[in-house]
Amino acid sequence: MGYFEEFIGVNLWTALFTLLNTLTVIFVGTKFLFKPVMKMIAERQKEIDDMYAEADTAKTEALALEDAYKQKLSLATQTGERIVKEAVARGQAREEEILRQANAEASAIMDKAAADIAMEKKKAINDAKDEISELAMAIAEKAVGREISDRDHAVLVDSFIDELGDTL
Amino acid sequence: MSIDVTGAYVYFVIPIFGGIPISQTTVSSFLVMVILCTAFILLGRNLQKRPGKRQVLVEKGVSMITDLTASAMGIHNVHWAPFMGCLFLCSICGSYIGLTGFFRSATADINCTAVWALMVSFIIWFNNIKHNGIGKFLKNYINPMNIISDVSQPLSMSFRHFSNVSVGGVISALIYAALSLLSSVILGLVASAGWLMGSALIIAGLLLFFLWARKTKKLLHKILAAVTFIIGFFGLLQSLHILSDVPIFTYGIPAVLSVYFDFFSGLIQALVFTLLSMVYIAGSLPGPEAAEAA
Repeated sequence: MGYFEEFIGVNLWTALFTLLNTLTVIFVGTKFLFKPVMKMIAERQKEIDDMYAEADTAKTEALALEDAYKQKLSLATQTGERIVKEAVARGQAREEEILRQANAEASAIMDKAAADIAMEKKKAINDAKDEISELAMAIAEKAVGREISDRDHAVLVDSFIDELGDTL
Repeated sequence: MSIDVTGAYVYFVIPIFGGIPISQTTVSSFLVMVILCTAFILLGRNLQKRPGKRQVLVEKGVSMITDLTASAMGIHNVHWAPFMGCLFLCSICGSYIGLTGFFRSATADINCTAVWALMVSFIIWFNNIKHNGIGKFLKNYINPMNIISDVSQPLSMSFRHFSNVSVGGVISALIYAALSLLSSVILGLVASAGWLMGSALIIAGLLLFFLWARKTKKLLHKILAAVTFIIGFFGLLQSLHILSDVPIFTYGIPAVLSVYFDFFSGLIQALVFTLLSMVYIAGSLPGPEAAEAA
């Protein structure tokens, strides 16, 4: 039934069947394997590229934010320093004022005290004067034996006090 | 002893249209088509963004073909990769199906490779007409050298592929014939010297193996001892008229040669055929600048 063909011979039916088989392989291979796989690879590649691009953008944004924050931070530091400086200056001024007020008050108190002391002293002296004059009058009455007139009295007291005053 | 170099065996003829012969090539290429299509559909199913092991391998293969196409045809012609990949797979499977022993290599038939080469030629002509216009295409053939080149191109492509694969089979057949001739000559010599010669060789082989080859521990020495033993054994059998003309040398040796002629040659020819197709088709397509402008 079967027979061998020539080693090199044309068989158009074989050629036709081979062509049909090959075209089928090409069609099926393209449709079911190569296209979907290539598409999948391309999609994945795109996704990866997108991710990298996103990451790059995020990084740039982050760097920009970092710069902004750095600037803000330095600004804040400067402001803080200024505020502290001002506060210190204000504090010093206040301190000086308080000191000055205190000094003034203290000197006022001292003055008042000195005045009080002087007044007390004067009062004491006057009291002493009165007592002494009464004492002197009593002594003098006893000594003289008579009532000293008001005029004599005054003269005596004054001279006594003058003497006393020199020793006081 | 005669060696017949024949073409494909025609199994039967379908008695319509004046008889359709169903040859080994037809069956092989049909089988290749079925196998490849099944594999394509199975491998191309259920693709994921995060691939499994199967998909990784498939993608590796596809990207190998795409890379090859991109390097041979330029990155703008990468959409030719499916065609080239299918052609490559058809060619390599058509060659390797001969390794099964049941089927003849489809590419060992000039009709098969000629169809592929002509397919490539038609694509080239179609591209030339499409991109240059029919007038310029025809004007090209005023120079008869161009006709010769256009004819010789598919001729050389088809014959290169066909002859490399089919001659592998022819050479295998020749080697089988030569080796069985050699073994019958040697066994005839041993047998004609009588049964003593055979026995002596058996003993020599055993002595070589146990006293020499086992100590040196070299594979070559062991093989030498085994060959001596086998020649003696079958020579003895032949001299005693039990077995005659056993083709002992056809064991093993043709397999080594088959690795080159069937396996390596099939791969190389598939690659060469595909690469040449790529180069020729790329030559008929517009360059990257024109492709970008289009």
